[in-house]
Amino acid sequence: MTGEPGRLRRTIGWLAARSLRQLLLAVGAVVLLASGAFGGLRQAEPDARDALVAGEPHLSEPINLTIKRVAWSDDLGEVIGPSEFGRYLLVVADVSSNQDRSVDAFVVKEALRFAGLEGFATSQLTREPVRSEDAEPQVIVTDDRTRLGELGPGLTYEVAFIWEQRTTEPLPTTAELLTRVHGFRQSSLDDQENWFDVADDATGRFPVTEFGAA
Amino acid sequence: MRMPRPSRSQLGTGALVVAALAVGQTLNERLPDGSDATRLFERHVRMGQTLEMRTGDFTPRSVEGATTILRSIGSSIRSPGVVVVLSFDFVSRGEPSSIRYGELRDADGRVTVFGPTGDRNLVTCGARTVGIVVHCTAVVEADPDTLAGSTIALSGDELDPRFDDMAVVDLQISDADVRAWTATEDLEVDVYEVAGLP
Repeated sequence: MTGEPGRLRRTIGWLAARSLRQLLLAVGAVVLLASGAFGGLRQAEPDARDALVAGEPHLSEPINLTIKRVAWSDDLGEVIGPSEFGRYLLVVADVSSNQDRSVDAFVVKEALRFAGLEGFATSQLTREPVRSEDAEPQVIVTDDRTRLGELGPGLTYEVAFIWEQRTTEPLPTTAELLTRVHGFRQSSLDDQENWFDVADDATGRFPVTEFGAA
Repeated sequence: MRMPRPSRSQLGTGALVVAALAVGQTLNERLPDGSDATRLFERHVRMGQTLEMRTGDFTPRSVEGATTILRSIGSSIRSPGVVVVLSFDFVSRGEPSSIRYGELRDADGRVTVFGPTGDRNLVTCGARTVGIVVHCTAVVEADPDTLAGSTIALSGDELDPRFDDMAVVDLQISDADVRAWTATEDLEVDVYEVAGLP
């Protein structure tokens, strides 16, 4: 019976029979294959996100966003009434697109999120509480209180992104916002071309004030 | 070593294969490729003319504009640009049908796509009864800087506008029209109505 020591001896003997060139080539091949699976040997860029700043425009492809203020309210009166879920958290922002073809409403809804908060309503229709990153806002045009639909080329709207949060969660005095980019491609399910592949983009922390307070 | 002589049937089979390949190649070259074959079938129509689409008769009547509109049904809107309102008639033919897809194509070639749902841009056409004239509207917001010279294209199916002809209406909007519309507010829009009914 040869066992482990015998196998080890044979392996060392086999390696000793290789030339230095063969050994270096083998090591190089292993390094290339292993690093290639993780993007190669070039130094990876740190996961640095742009900073969102109030009043400054930021492009999260294909949406231009200028955050104006972040606020909370129990009741948005004539806009959409009192919250039956808890409280509203809203972001007032200017939005436009950088495209020559209108951008669908769902892309605008996906472009902005609160980060790191809990107890948000999933959407206007689904009231299951989820973390803020997974909650879809209503997007209301502030001028006439209608829902924003397609974002046409050359038009800038002031809108309120509106979420609802359980009052069992503490009311934030500051909150982190997260913008998200999209990529344009053909759907893998059908022939339609649209904005898919949502990815996190820029973040910024903003004070949360009471809506309507001076 | 000598190659065996092919029989007449083998030669015939070979000739048929070559001929089939040649025919296939010719068809491949002459038939339209995928994007061309599935292009929108656009037909231009002027204001007041009637276009016989596959599913009905389409007649553009008038175009107006304003910065704010008051709809008889649904949301009234205030636009950061100009709201363009195209009024048209539609008569279903054969089976109940309607107009449910629109594109505003501006002077710079930029496109706003809109459909039968939503609060703002909207094609509203209740044509569901064969042979009855329905007055419809296409309401869409536009950038006033590139509005003069725009067209609106309309079709039946919002999911696949290639289902029917696409009517392309030259709106004949001038710079003077745009200037007037940017100074106009509270344009009243009848969303749709059936001809002959109060």
